[in-house]
Amino acid sequence: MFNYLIRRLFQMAIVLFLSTMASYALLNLAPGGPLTFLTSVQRRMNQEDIARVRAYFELDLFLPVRFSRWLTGFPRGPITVGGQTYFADFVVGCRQPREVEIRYSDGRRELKTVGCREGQDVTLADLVDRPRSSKGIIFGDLGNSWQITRDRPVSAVVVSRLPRTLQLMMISLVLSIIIGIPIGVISAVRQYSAFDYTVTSMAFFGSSMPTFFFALLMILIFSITFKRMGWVYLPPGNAESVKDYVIPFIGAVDAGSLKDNILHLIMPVSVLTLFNVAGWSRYVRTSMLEVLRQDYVRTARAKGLIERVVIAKHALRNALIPFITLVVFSIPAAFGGAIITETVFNWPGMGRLYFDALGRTDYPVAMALLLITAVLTVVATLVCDVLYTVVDPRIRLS
Amino acid sequence: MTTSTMPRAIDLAAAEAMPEEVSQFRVILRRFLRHKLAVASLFVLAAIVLIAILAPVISPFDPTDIEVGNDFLAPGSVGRDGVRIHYLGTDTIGRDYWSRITYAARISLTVAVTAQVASVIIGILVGSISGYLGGTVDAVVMRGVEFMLTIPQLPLLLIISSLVIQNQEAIPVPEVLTNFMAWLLLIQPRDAVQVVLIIAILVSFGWLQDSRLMRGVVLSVKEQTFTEASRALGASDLRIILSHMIPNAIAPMIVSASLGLSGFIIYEAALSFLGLGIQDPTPTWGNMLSAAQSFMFQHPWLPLVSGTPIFLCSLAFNFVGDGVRDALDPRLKL
Repeated sequence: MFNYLIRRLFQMAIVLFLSTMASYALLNLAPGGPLTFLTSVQRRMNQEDIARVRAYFELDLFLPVRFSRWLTGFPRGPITVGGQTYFADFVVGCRQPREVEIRYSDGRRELKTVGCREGQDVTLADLVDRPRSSKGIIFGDLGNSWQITRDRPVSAVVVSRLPRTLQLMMISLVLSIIIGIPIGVISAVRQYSAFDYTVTSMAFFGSSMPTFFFALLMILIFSITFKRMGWVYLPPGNAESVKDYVIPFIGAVDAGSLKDNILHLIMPVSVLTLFNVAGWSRYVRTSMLEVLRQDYVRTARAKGLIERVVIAKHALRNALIPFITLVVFSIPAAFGGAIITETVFNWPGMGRLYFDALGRTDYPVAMALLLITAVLTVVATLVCDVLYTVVDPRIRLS
Repeated sequence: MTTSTMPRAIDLAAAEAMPEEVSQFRVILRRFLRHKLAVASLFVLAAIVLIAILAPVISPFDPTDIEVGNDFLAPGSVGRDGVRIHYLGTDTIGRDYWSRITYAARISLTVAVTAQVASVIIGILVGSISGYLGGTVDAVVMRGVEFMLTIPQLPLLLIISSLVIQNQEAIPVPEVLTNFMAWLLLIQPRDAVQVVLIIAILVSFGWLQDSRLMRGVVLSVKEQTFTEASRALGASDLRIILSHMIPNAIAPMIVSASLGLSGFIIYEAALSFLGLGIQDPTPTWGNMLSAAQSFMFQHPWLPLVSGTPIFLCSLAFNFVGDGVRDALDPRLKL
């Protein structure tokens, strides 16, 4: 067991390193980034300004150097051993790349960057007085945001968004478990009954209905139509209102109060819960049907146990083993947020933060969120495997 | 006398007792027809496909023609020329909604079907090679595939498409492909680049599941006695793959493909809805829904019109896929 855990932790580290490197390269190799935005807003940017902005965002460093600085905070300058500095002239980047215009025979022209301009190399010695370097992801410093909260630490943005996402996801997770498991059990026990057919149709509905359309439909019905009719309506977006409002039958609602927050939660939670329940109840049903056919269930019945005990104690416990995977893997999803649902309901959580970060080329934020999701996913995989051995002694880790 | 009639009587009895000879296809068809919802869905899909094919004929306007000042016309209002009718009204900048919906059907269906076909082909290739070769190749490929399947797909899909859409000029797309898409979808070659890129993005994730499925089939067929017999008779690897692996894989692949189509419809719509897919002048149900979202407080019927086809299409594909699974492989039933 101990050896197994050590080996798994080692594998996890490698997987995490490779996946972070891949996504970092993906985001940083693509042209664009904050410079495109700046040059489109500020027309009068000259080469000097561009070089300064590039240095500010560390875009002038070579990709491996940048990645290493982002991950570990190293290199921070020349290596000093006993008062003696080494590698001070080592080139780690380029302030102004040399651009060459290529003219093709068919009249096309293309700007290509070839090498570096004379004397514009960035050396290790130049890194010493760079103020913005993060202390490195592995030391818990996620760096600074580029656009969303300019120059403020990414961790501050993430921490400010996390409670909202956890609130949304945890409520819907608990509701989905409370609703989904009984539905799945009942439809397995009463297979081919009217209830079972209803649940099956609901599962089809859930897997065919796009989340964004369903969310829009809910806003359309419960916010727009109900408000026009003068009925109890729900606020369409955000987590809290800016000013106080009055809802028929409920009365005055203070902005920022618990009541306000709950009213805002109802629709996004319902959307997430419905889709979870549709999928999970089907999952529980399948695995319950399988377990009900097993010999030990027949033995339990033959012993004369009442049906309720057979179902709850003998069948359900075993049927829920594969369900562990679903629940454990919904934890990384809970931290990552529901991107589409949060975007449609304008919910200020991690999912929308990620979407905004991509749209506004705030790559440190996007990278941080990806990293959090990746770490949690990898941990969830391990937790899942270990939990299996706990609940099912037949499974051995090796 | 009796001796001459007796054999005849036996013949008749035998003929009645013998089941009528039916082809494999008939059996499958009969099983499919028993699934009423699947048959109904097939009709719905046929209607949508017909609308998509006949888009230029049945839509009175060009989907990108703007009638300045005629924004948000009500359904059934008469157009600027006093002759043609906007059956479903006009959108935010005065383009005919019905025409856009029909052309969008053409685009969304083409994207989903092409992405699915390409995924299945890549999945079959990778799965059969990795399953048949086994060993290190298999281990490396399948670890990679499993890892890709573990990570949440939507965040990565969003990154890739946002990068691709931002830099679409820089990505070399074979002109043959864009020209073909432009011809098929009746759009400008410039806009067709996006369509090709979105298909590529969807395929980059779509083939994973298919390759695992194919590998599973190959591994199980490899152990069967008929494969062993065939090898004992001196059949080559290629022959075994072609005459045993592929035929055995067809049923599960068709089932997975028909169920996967609904996922591709939804993913494409989601990307376009979030603004990271096919962009505005080219109509798709997703980007029409996203445009409708901004004006839903004033014009609540707009999201209904562009969202319903996405739901209908994906529901119909799901039911047809379920029917196909019942018909082709009853053991697979959940």
